[in-house]
Amino acid sequence: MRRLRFDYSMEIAYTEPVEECHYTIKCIPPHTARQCMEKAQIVIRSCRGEHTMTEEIFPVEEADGPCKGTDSFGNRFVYGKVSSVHDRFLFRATGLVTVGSADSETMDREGILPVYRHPYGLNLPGEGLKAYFASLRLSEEMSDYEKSVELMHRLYRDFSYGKDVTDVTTTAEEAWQLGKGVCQDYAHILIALCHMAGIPARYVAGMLVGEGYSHAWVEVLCQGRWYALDPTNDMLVTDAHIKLGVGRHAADCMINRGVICGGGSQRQTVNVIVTPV
Amino acid sequence: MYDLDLLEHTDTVNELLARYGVKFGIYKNNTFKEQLFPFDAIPRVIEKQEFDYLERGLKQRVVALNLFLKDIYSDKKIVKDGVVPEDFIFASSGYLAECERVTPPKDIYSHISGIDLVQSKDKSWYVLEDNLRVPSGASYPMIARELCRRSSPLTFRNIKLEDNRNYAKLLRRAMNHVNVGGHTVILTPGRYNAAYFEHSYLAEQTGAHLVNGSELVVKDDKLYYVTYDGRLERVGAVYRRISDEYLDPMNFNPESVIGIPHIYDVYRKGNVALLNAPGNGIADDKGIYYFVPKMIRYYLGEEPILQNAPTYLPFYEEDMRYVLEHFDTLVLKDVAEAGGYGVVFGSSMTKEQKENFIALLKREPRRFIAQEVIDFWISTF
Repeated sequence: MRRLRFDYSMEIAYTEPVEECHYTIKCIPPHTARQCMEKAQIVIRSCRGEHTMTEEIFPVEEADGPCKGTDSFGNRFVYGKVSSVHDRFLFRATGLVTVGSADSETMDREGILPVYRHPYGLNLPGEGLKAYFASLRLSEEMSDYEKSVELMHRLYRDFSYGKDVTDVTTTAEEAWQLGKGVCQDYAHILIALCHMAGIPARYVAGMLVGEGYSHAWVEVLCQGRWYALDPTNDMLVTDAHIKLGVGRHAADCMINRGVICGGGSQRQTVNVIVTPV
Repeated sequence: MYDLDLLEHTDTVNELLARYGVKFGIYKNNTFKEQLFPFDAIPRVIEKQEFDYLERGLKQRVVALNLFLKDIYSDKKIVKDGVVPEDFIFASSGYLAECERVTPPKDIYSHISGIDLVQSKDKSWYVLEDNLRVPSGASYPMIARELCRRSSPLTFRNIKLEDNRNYAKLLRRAMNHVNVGGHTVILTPGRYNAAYFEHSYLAEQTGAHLVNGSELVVKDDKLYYVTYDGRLERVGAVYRRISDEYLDPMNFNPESVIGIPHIYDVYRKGNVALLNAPGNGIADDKGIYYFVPKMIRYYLGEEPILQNAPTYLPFYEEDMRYVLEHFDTLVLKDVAEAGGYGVVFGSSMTKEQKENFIALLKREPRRFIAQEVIDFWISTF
């Protein structure tokens, strides 16, 4: 068990002024059997040149409140709109979380469970992944949990880490064909493989001690419990992982989503610091 | 004896329909073309007793479909009890996970339903399909009837008929019933939508504001209408004539420019009613159609009053066998398609097409339904 302080900051700089921006931020660590959020807040700022145009502070210990909500996957979020002209949009989520070291947790939101059994969106497999799965010849003797871990090991061996090859819209199949990708791609491919093995699996967005960036991994449902696997690092999730959101694929728990008016081209910078307290 | 006065006024009615701009738009080869509705003065007469039977059957069907939607987005009892296989729900593009555990005001999902009926040669009625998303069509018979009355008052003096002039009142009542406080508006994607005439006509007839996406804004978990002088006035119900996908770029398709950012977040909190509710696509899916009679028995404990056209699901082995044995007499429909697309007749396929299709059918049995071809009854005098 560890107490972790997190500081997630993101900045989007635009080449042209933005007149209006709508945002949804899903960056609130949920209370689960494995982790407990002590305190957290989200600050949203818009700037023009050196001037701060708007600043909004959301204390998020309480789930209810204006412009806060919980989506169908159980992810909490804050949302809003910036109406002042700005050329930079920043948000910063900070807080304290205690993370346990159990390897699994009980089922939550049972109603939505079936969606994690069916391929969807970015985790839909194509011919390449189907052929790969068939070539793995998983032994039927293994339990679902053993199969998932085996799939993770194989994927780690047969896929390599590479930045700037894929982007947020890359599907599991596309990433597999490219042979390279980041944590999001590892997660989508592992979900696709688990589905083919008949194991419910879901995408997890989160943060990891020492990573510097947001992270993603996978949870698989075996014998009524969710086990968390980190395929990018070929390891079981530890008390260094803070979970932020879950979904069928990355788009369900995207940390920030926005619609803007104006803006020209944009550059996004993310900086994540997770440190043991 | 039928009074022929209306028949003599067919041209007048058609001219009036043109003058009022009663059109429906069609996209063909990437160009948008609006067409007038041709009006035929010879009516299909439905006698009162038969109309009452249809009304009872349609009500029963819509009540069951509404219960199905509530169940699917919450407890899923019908799946757990094995009445509808899980695959037909969660692999369907009509199912929206975003609607899980989101309850619409007064638990109503399908406020306006378009159920397609056909009458076969032996005069029995069948339901061909259900449309519970954004069905169009109510305005056309309304204005046609109005213009018929004007052109041929004699017909309506001499023949006793059930009127459809109360549709606007019923629609208004439905909108008021679910309104959570504030204005009622009809949301249109605009002038270039196929059914724009209908949007404006229904707004006029019900007294609701006709608005486009840019006239509605979200603020502090509520939805507002921006007035001419820039004030914000609360909106409690939106009869939206845009599909789920385009409703809210922050929750659905981010490319949408006709939607209202965060309107779905307001809806999720129960602060506005949306007619029809998002997520209804799962109930009018062609694969689900097969299960509607079972739904009626399951939720209402009643026998269905209206029948489906005889339908087979190749997903079930027994049905697959039937479909293969009677392939030439059946029509096959792709469940993911709508509006007449993805429909093929077994009898019109070449040998090779047939072989290919059967191979596809065996590979993806869930993707298709098969139906007996129904010969329509054509009204004659």
